[in-house]
Amino acid sequence: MDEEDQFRTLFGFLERFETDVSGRSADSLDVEMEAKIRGLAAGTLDNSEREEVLEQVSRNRAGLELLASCLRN
Amino acid sequence: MTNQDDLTVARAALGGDSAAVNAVLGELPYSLAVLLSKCTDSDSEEKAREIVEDLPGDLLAGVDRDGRTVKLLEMYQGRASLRSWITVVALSRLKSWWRGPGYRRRERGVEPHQDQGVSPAERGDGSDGEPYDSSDVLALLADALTDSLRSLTPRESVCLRLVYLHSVEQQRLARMFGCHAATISRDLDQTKSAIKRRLLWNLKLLDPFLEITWDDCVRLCASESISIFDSF
Repeated sequence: MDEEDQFRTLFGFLERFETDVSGRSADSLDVEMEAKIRGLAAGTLDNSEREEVLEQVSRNRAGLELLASCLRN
Repeated sequence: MTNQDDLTVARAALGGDSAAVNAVLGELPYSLAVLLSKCTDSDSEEKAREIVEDLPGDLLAGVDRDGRTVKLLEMYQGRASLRSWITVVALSRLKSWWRGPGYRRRERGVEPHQDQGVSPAERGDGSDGEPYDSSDVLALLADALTDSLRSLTPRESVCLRLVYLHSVEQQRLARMFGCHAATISRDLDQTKSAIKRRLLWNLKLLDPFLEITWDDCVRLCASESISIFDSF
């Protein structure tokens, strides 16, 4: 298993573990936050806005999932 | 979080609240009783008492890391009750000590209790000589890993999760940050190295006797998720 797969395994474990223990987080996103995340994904935020949104996304499962979805599409 | 009350007590204890400190210390007799129930020789009983006596200092006074004092109780994240968590930490230390060179059974004719002083090979459980009890270590591993991730900056944490949890291509991240993909790759490499170091350090803090490598951690993470806090 290379290092990339090792880290996928680690995150998979943590994701599974958190779900097993406490269930899915009920994090929600308001319209303003959604817009900011879409802006982050599009690369249209200035530095301070970007850092602010990253800080919020790092603590919000739904925010991270939305960001991932925007970046994949 | 299912153990919010215990988490609140732990944080208050870390903040120096004397009632909370007493509440934390009040869990230790239970942990000692569990450890002693696993022992069948006097050396092990002595070690069990020593381990539990060391816990107040480790939990609340802390050890130095990179010029900062880190307290073991900071690793508690409410996944289990505080009582169970402290007991798992203590039990892991005792089991690791049993497997180490410091332990030699002196009392002959006494059947070891469960895994006391018995290697997996001797147990015949076919676990190809894995030098620890997976269920205990998984519990510690989850806490150690979560704490390691908490040490990252928001940008580091988000990038790592996007790439390794959500399979986002690094090129996409580079476009988002307006930088070259090589910059993202280099940053990720640095972050991963930091996570590896911190994870192993955290595990050593939780269980100083535990001999575990990065590859062991990965192998454990690849195993099925199991219920880990009710095994004693």
